[in-house]
Amino acid sequence: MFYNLYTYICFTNCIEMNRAYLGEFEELVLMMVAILQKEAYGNSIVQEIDKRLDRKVNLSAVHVTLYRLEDKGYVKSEMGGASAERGGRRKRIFNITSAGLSTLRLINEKRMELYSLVPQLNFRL
Amino acid sequence: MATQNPSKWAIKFLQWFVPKELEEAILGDLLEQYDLHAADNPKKANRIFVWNVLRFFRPGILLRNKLKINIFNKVMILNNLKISYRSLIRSRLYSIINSMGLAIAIAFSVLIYFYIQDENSFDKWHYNKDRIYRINNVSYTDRWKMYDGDKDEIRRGYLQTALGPVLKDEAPEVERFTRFNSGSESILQLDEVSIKVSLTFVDNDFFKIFDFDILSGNKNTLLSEESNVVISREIAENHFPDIDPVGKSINLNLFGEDKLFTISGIIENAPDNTSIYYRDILLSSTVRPFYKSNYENWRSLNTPLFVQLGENNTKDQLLESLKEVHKKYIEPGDLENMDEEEKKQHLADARPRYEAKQIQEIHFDEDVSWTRVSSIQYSIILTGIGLLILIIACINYVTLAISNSESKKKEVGIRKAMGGTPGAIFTRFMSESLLLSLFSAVLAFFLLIVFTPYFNEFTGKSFSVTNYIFELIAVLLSTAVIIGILAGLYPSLIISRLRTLLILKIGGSSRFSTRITTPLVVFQFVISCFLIICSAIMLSQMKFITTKDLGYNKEQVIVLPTFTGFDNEGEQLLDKFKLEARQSPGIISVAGTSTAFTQGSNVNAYEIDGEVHAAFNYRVDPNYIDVLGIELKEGRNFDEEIISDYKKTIIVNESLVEDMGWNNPLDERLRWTSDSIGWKVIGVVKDYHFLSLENKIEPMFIYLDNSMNKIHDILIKIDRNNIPNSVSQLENIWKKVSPDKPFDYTFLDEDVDRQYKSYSKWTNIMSLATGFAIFVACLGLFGLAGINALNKTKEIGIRKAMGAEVKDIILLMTKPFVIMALISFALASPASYYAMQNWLGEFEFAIGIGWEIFMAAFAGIVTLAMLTVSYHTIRTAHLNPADTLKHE
Repeated sequence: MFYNLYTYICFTNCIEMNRAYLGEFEELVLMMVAILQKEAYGNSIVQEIDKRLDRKVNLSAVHVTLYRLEDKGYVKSEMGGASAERGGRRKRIFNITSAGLSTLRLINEKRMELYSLVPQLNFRL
Repeated sequence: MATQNPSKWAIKFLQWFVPKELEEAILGDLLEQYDLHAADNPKKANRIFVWNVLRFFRPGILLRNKLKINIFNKVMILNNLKISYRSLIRSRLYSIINSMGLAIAIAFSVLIYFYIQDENSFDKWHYNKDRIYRINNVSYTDRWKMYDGDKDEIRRGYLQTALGPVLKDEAPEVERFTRFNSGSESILQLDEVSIKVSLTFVDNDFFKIFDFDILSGNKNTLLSEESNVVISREIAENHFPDIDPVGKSINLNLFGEDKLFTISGIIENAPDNTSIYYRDILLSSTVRPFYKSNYENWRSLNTPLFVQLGENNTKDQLLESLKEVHKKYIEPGDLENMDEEEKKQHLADARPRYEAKQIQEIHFDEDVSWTRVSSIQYSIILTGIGLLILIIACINYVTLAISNSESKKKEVGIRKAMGGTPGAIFTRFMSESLLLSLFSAVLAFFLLIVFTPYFNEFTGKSFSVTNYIFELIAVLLSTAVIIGILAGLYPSLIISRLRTLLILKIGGSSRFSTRITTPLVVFQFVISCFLIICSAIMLSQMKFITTKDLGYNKEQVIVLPTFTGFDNEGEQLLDKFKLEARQSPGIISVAGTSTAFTQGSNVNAYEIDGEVHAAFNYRVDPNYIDVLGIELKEGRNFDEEIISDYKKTIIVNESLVEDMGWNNPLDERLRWTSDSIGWKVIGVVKDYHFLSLENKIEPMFIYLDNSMNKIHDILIKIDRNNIPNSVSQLENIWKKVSPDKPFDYTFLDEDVDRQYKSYSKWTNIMSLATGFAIFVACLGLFGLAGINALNKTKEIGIRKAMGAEVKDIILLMTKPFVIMALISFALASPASYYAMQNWLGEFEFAIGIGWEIFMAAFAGIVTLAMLTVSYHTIRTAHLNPADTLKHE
């Protein structure tokens, strides 16, 4: 779906593609997709982030991140429900893939490991 | 529920830059958000919506578009070219006219560009150019009434002979100096042949200061000896073809004396773009006549001077040193003759007496008279003209392309119906435009080859197509491409946007807007009117000048320089000549003078009773008045028999009498020398124009006295009936009388014409520009008339069907253009009147600007307009309404 040209240009513009780790925002969006299950699309993710983290993000940022995640293969998208408020336009619903799930798991593991090494953050019994 | 709608253009914008696949979802999300807020506050919701749209304009989205590369569609290029070519061939008239106009414009602009490049390149090629200065002398006119006098500051490039050496010794910042005197002529004796050569006097450092190429010889010592000379490559090639001239001895006749010199080197011919122009022979300054006396005399300003400063020195240091030198050597002499009051004034006068100009600046410095100075006005005006011509040509190109597009409509319609995108159609017509402009560029190339010799003659430059061939090709190609694209844009866009149905429906029409082209054509016509009127006036002024009675007879008079010095040899030559001439029937009368006034003059200033006067004066002989046909008003001519006529006696002209306020001139004496008695006036001649018609007739007198000046020119009146015969008789006599001097004659009337060389040059340029402007304006008008005819086709059809005659239609269509011509004329007349008043103001004697000229110009312009328009009007008027009104 997304063409080599984009990849090439991203590369030359020093936007890193296919690196082994996710940026903070990418991770956040990926989590949201995983949480929202079948309801994950642009607006819902924006609202969910606002609800859970009290953080206002812009729709365009979310969209772009979603596309990037799809390029990396962590999410998959398909067209879904249209409604009158959207002027009859369908939504693009995103689902997390197994690769995405395993990345999340990996990130979480590594983070926990690091946390355990910080004395002040450790559970003091 | 979307009851309100967000900004439509934002939506359109979004749809434009977002890739198709993503558009639906993104727009949907945005609308959803909008609806959330729209219920309470639609305005705010809209703002947020637009803001969000803008936020989507980011690389992450933009770069996801597939790049559309449809500029070069390889497959179609060849096809496009083929079709364009055929289309151009089919409308031959249009193609030829249009490309001619463009070609001429391009050729002109190239020539003008070259001219300006050349002018600006003067003297810029010396390596040390930043350190080389020419010193100018500045004086102020409140002391001397000079005849040039509406300026109060006079700057001259002449300085004292000793200044150079003194500066080098006493001013630490001056590294080198050279004096530079050129323009003298002499005779070179070589075997049996005498050649006339140009002499230039310089100092040894000349070759180190300036980067003229030394072809042979040692740069450091070329003129270290007084007896050395350096010859130019031209002389070496012409007269020493097979042998090495270095080391050879030659005989030069310097102002009456034969001297032997040794050739110490050969220098390359001076290039065209140098102010420091020399020819033939270079000698040491020290050999100049009167060198010794000039060296001692700090009051005599007789030689140009160039200095080269050290690397870290500044111009200000030089000016300081000049002040010091002046104080040390010149001031004492000045102060000697002054009383206390004057001394105070003199010392208080802090105005600079010297200035230094870098050599790159001297070319355009008109005030200081120099042989190769040029006015920066020329460059500016020519640039203006060049740009104007290009712009007008481009506009015409567009106009003509539009008016030609009528015939393309069917093609466009069919292409669209077959699925041609607007892009493809656009490309198709752009390639046609490009092809045409490329063809124009080729034409321009050939035009350049044809124009070049005339251009060189006009401007004295040497432009040659072969010299600049690479730049030329690059420039021509790029110009053609740029113009082709720019000029092709508008018509192509219009054509490719025409709606298919309208086109294919026969009888459908779209009107082309004439809003842009009409004022442009008027503008072109205004310029043409202006040029026509100015040319007419300039031409008649030139005619006036060449035919005006100058008060003396310039026809059939030959001027023969004697090549003698400040001695009596000239006079002896004259006497011998007169003797021999008696036997020649073709020679009517012979006279002698110090300088033929067409080639130079002497002015002397003198103070009488506290008033300063100045007068032109010439040494002559008794036949002078007769040979020139000057009219004697009072008194008598010089008489050979009366010995006192040869001492301190003068004949004056009317202007001098007026200047001195004499009632009885024959009783007066003129104290113009240090002699307190003065010279006796024995006659008064009617004023005649010994100066060019730019000047009024100044006071002048002539005398026989041998003490003040010698004979250097012989004037001969010859029989007009057989001029070649008379000239050859002259040559025979000359060879007999002075075999060692060249026979270098000129006709007096040619000399006179040469005084107006710069004016006739301008007149020629004007005429040429006029011719071109007319051609271009007619082109524009032709195009406009074409568009007009196009737009009116239906209307004409209806009129004819209603019974209008052909001549009525013609009248109807011609009228607007006649009005246009009228308006142009009205606009152009005051401008041209003003401009010509200025130009004519340069001449003391000029024609008046009469209304006949304006009438004639007006008639000409109207006729021109009508003729140009006639092609289209007649054609349209003859159209059969049955064709134009079909399907209505």
